[in-house]
Formats: sequence, structure tokens, C-alpha cells
Amino acid sequence: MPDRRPASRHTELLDFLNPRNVMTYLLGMVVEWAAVLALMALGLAIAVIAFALR
Amino acid sequence: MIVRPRLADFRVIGLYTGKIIVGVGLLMFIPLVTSIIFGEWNPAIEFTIAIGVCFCFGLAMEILCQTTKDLAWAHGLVVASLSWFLAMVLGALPHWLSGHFGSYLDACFDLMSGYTTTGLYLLQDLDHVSHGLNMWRHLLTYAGGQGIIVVALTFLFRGTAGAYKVYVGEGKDERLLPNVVQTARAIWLISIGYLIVGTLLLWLIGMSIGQQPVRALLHALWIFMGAWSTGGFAPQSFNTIYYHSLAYELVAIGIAIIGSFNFALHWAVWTGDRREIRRNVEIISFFITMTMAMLIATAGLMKLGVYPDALALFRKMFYNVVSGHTTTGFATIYSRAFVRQWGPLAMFGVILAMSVGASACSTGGGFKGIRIGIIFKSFVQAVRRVILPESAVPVQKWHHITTRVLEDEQVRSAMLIVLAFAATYGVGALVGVWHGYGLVDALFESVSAGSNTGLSCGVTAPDMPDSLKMTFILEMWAGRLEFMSLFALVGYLFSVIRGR
Repeated sequence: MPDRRPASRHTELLDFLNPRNVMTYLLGMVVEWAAVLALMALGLAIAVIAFALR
Repeated sequence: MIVRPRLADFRVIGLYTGKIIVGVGLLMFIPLVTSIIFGEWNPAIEFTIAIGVCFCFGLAMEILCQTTKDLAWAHGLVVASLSWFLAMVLGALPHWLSGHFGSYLDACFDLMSGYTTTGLYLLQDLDHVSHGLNMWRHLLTYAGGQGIIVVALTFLFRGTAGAYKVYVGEGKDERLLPNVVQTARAIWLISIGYLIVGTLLLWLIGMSIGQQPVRALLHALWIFMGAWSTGGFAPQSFNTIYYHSLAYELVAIGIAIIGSFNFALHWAVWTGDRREIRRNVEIISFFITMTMAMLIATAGLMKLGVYPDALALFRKMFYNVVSGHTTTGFATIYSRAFVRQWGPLAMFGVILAMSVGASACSTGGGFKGIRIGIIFKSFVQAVRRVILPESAVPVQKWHHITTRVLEDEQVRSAMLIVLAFAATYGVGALVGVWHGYGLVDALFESVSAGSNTGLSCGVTAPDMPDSLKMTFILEMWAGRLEFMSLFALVGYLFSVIRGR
């Protein structure tokens, strides 16, 4: 887990681009897209059930 | 007794407002460079004029209002609302000079719509707009989504204590990091991270559906900006129907969903606290209200038999309801189809979605998930008080980054803002009805403006009455700043007249 303490102004950008931190950010993105996919699945399920119950 | 503000108060307000106007001028260099790259000389001249005006105005304010005094809370709120107003008036110059607007008011309407990430527009002949102006339109929503104060905090402000007060005045009140300037930079880092990934994805899909590489890249960038900022502007008048691609629609709406999340949630998930996405009150609230809105819209569409199969229903219903709930405003149906095809029940589902809106401290508008979560928890607490023995003291907890105990002050504050939003929606609808629009149409458009969504059922058009345009501008402004800053500005003006 990256250090959440505030970095100094000069090290802020370098800290962000640290490969270990970048990997953590990318994993965070994947988790957020998983939530999006869950919502899409919910929408599709509602549409399918609506037609099944018609 | 009302105290009249002193010269020193005006100076501190003028100084910070001037800095923000200079920031708006700096932003215009991006569309200026775009125009030069594509050899669009008329738009380049228009942007040069607008940059000159912004710099003259902003720098003059900074020079005339030189002071070492730091901002007080009232100053911060006034700076936020005043700078949004001036940024609208001055930022509208390239719009107006482009000749695509019937009046300066129409240009101001589009500017406020852009900054507030609403997405309603009065621009005429959108399909033949220059690349420079299109870049400016989309950059407005991208910068406005982060907050123009955040832009200024990132690049122009030193980390003074007063900076936090302007930041709060813009409707954001969470610090991702202890320092507000670092918070502003963290917001930019998240947005730029997604800008790279999102634009790349849309660019690849754009090329796969037959767009030329440069055109696909520009469209990908602009659609990303419209989606991430939950703004809803698109480079074509057919909005996202233009692409006729399920993949394009799903990626665009996915970006909009993520854009509607709280920046504090992004930061928590991005820095390793991945369980936060399952526990956060705003995400839970979003899933529940989203399900309700989808069920209502589906019921309305099924009753009228609008779509022939489940996939068609999913594609249209999901996209447009999510677009409403995230307050994005992208549409895959024509404006009047809401009235002529979807009918009142499905429209009610979209109105519900738009009014609830996105997360706090996000790019979106509306009541916000955190407030709905808090109000729901207070209902649960009230029921528990009735059920439990009299001696019991029910403690209700809610989770947003940390687990907190529900307090009366939080409920009161949430209810106040929700009521203010509801009143704004109501006033806008009333003005619409007074001008002869149907109740459902007027309410739909008013909620869309007040919640900064941008879906339209056909009311917003260049021939709309001027008073309705001004009402929507006010709604967009008030909704984006969540009222307090506007109240502070009105209070300040009142104290200038009546104070002693």
C-alpha cells in the first residue's frame, strides 16, 4: 500500500510515478470497473426479467 | 446589526477572484493551440481576444486589490460564487465570437452549462463547430468537473489557510490529503490517470468502427471529458447515438459511472483500501436508488411496449437512466423521444434518477448519495427508537472512508440541502409551466438543469424564452455550488446596501 502521508512538493510527482504506486492505482481502477460491471449486470438482469415476466 | 464590508474585504475577494479569472485565461491556451494546429485562424483570433480580456481583467483585479490579508469563511464563499459568475461572462467570449449563438445570453447559458457539468446547450449547428471551440466546450466541463477553484488551487494558489475556504465554497468539503493544495493535485492526478486510460479505450473503439485516427482521437478525448466530468457535451448533435456502437456506449457510460464517484472514495481505493467500494454509504445508496429508477423506467417502457427485446430495452433504458443518475446527460434517444416514446412513467424514473444524482465531492450534481444515505439512516434510527424500550439509546452508524456515528447535525444539514434542491427544481418547473410547457416536460428540464444533468426532453432550445434561460442558468449555478456560496454572495450584496 502506498504511503498516504503528504509528500513534499518536489517529491510529489516522483512519488506518484513510483512503479509500486502505479500498480496499486491500476488495481484500484480495476476494482472500480468491477463495480461498473456489477451495475451493468444488474441492468441487464432487470431487462431480461421484465421480458420473462411479460 | 448588519455590518457593511470594508475596503479590505473587497480587496481580498478581488485578489482571489482575479487569480481565478487569470486561470480561466490560461485554460484558453489549450483550445488556442488546437485551433492553430488545425489551421483554424478565425477561432484562433477569437481565443486570443478572449485570453487578452481575461488577463487584463484578472491582472487588473490582482493589482488593484493587492493585500496580504487571508480569506475568511464569508470571503471564500463569495469568491467561489463570484468567480463562477465572472468565469461564465468572460469565458463566453469565444462562444459568442464564433457566430454559433443567437445572443450573448445563449453563449453564457452554454458556458454555465459547461462549467457546472450540466450539458444542456443552445449552440446552433453543432456539427460544423471548429475543433478549437469543441475543445473549449469539452475542456470547460473537464475543468468544471474538478472545479475551477481546484484548477486555480493546483496551479495558482499558495497553500494558505484561506485556500480551503474557497475550496469548500465550490461545494467540495473533503480533504483527500491534509493539505488542500495537495488534495487539489490528487484530484487532478486521478482525473488525468483516467483521462489516459479512458481516451485510449475510446480511441481504439472509434477506429474499429471506422473513424479516421485523428478524428477518433479527438472524439475519444471529448467524449471522455464529457463522461468523466458527467458533463454530457458531445461533438455531434446526435450526441452518443452518432457512434451506433454498443462498445462505445458501454465504455462511455462506464467512465461516467466512475466519474460520479466521490474523489475521496477514488483516493481510498487507489491507495489500497479496496473494501471501501463495498462499504461506502454513497455506493450502497447509488446502487439502491439506481435499481429503483431502472425498475420504474422499465415498468413504463414495458407497459407501452417500446422495445422489442431484452437487449434493446437494456441498451436504451440502462444507458439513459444511468446517464441521468450520474448526472451526465449523454443520450442514446432523441430529446422528444422521452415524451413521445418513453411516456410519463419512464420519464418519472429518469427524473428520480436525475434528482438524486451523483456522489458528494465528485464531478456530478443532484441531492448526492451521501445525503440520501444519511436521511435513510435517520429514518431507520427513528423506527428503532419507537420499537426499542424507552431506556434504550439506538446508535446508528454510517460509513464513508471512516465509520461515523449518525448525529442530528448531519441529518439537519443533509435535509436542508435536499430541501433547497427540491425547491430549486420546483421553481424551475413553475417558470416552465408559466411559459406554457407541460408539467412533466417542465419538471424534467428543471430537474435536469438543477441537478446539472443535461438530459433534455426538448424544452431547451435557442427559441426558449429568455427568462427561462436565466432561470436555468441560476439553477445550474446554485445546484453546482450547493447554494451556500450563492446565499453568501446575496448576503454580501445585501450588507453592502443595508449594512452600517
